[in-house]
Amino acid sequence: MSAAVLVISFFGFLIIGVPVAVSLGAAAVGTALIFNPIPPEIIGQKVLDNVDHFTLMAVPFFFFAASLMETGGLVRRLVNLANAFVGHWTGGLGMTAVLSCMLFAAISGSSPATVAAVGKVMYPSLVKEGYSPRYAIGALATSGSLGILIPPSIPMILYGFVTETSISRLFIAGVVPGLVYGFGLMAMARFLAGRQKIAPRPRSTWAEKSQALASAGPALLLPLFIFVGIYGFPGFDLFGVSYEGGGIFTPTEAAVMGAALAMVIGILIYREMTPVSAIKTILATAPTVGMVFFITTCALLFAFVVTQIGIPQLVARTLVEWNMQPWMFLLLVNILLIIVGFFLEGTPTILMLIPILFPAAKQLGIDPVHFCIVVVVNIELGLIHPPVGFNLFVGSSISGLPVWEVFKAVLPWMCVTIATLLLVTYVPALSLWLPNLLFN
Amino acid sequence: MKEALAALDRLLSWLESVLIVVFTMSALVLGVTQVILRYGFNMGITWAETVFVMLTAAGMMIAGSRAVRNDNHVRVEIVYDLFPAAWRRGLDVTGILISLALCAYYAVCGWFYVVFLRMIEATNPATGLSDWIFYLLVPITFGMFSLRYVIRLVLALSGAPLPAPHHQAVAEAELQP
Repeated sequence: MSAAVLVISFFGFLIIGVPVAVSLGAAAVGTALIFNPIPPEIIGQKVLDNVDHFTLMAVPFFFFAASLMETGGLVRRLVNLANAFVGHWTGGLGMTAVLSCMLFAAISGSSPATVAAVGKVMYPSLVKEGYSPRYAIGALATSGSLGILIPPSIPMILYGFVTETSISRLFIAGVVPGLVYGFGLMAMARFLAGRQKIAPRPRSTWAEKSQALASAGPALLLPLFIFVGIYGFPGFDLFGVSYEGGGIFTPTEAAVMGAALAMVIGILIYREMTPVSAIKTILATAPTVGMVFFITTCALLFAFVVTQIGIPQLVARTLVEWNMQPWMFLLLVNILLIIVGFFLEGTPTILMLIPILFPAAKQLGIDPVHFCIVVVVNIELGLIHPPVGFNLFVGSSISGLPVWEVFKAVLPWMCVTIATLLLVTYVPALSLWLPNLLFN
Repeated sequence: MKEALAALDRLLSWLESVLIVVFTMSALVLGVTQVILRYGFNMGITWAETVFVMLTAAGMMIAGSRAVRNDNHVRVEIVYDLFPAAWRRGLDVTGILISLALCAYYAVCGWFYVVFLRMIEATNPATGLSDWIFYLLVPITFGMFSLRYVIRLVLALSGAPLPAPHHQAVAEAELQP
């Protein structure tokens, strides 16, 4: 009965347009007040304790790092670099868009931020070079979804936070699927440009390539700094000098240092940002993070009530009783997440559904790291289909095309996303090979 | 009434901006200092991690209140969009009332917890500060959320236009500065 009230009230609130965070919180508090009152003091404590975690503090600073990169002129230089190396191939500028998103994704943990940052620079160039607006926005809106697969990734931080899985392992697990997805999109960029018969650009000279590399050098330092910071150098023992290897700092510290470094590069090296514009950038980005924090605290309260009612245990027990195979469970999870993707954005999906699905996945012997990558690729798919696909809305703002047109533009590119989803679901080695190699 | 609401909005906006910048920048400076001290000089400040978390959490909770003003809080609009305009206004008012009730409830619960912490005189082992000072954040931030929803409620009831739908607002926010 309590489960029915919880679910019905949540969906009822959601349907009439109540914000997702409030729907989660109100359904949880309402159900608890009716069936199993929680002392108000506990609610007051939980509201803050739910977000008062060191791990979660990586989220705002990865958001800030991405925004500061954009304001500080780092994105433009990364685009120029990508263009210098792949711009002369057939569909070269489309491939540049994908490669730029891959490079930006290595510092940004958010997909809409990736589409916005790279899209603002790339969309006018693509259209000017003769690519159709549909091609341009399709490439950008889809490639932007790489932002949450290539580390760092906000959904991975939230997943790790909820399931107590090592975030360093989750980040590194996204590398190979991210590269596979990225190269798949580059192949699609080439194929679609070939059909549009777009002439390739002239090849950049070595002088131009080295100039682009030198100019983008400080910007490239940022992802390198984060990667080396989290995973360190491999251990060695040479001529009596030994180094144990391993990570240098935590993902949260990497996020803080990434934001600080983006600020330093933008202000002191590229001189495209002032301290005042840096503060304005942080102020403009903060409400988006505030929204994530509000959803987090309400979703964890919802998960607390869900656990008290016993729903995760019931789901796990039922699946075991049905003798469900892991591949069938993953297929069901994919279908469920695709359906949920029509209604909910990634953050509430993870915070609300993972506490329910994770115990079942564990009971069926599915690796938590593999499960995370499957969930993240599903969220990527949700980002590029209506009605709540954020990348479509950002793409529409950049291009001035209606959201429905942006969705039609994304359709051919979505084939690559679906192929990646099937690959990561049924080839666990794709996600697990690198973390197992690095963490034994 | 309109002027009073505008003044309240300005006051809240000023307060939010100052607190978000102060808390976030302090957290950034403290976080960077701690990393440099720990990995560069093999030393550290014992309370740094706790205070860093407190400052960041405080900044982002207050940013949640700003998100109410900008209508950044995501919501599902598939069914909502199917209703005629007059119905939508009714749904807006209902949604705001539910949001206001939840935030006010959180604020009251937070206040009860602050009173409880003062009673038991709990202190944070890392900072030595009384715990209630940090937890005061709950009644303050959710008080601000509630005031934001009161402003929206009055706007909705008076027929004034509400801010843009959240998707548009988020897309515009992404395209800033």
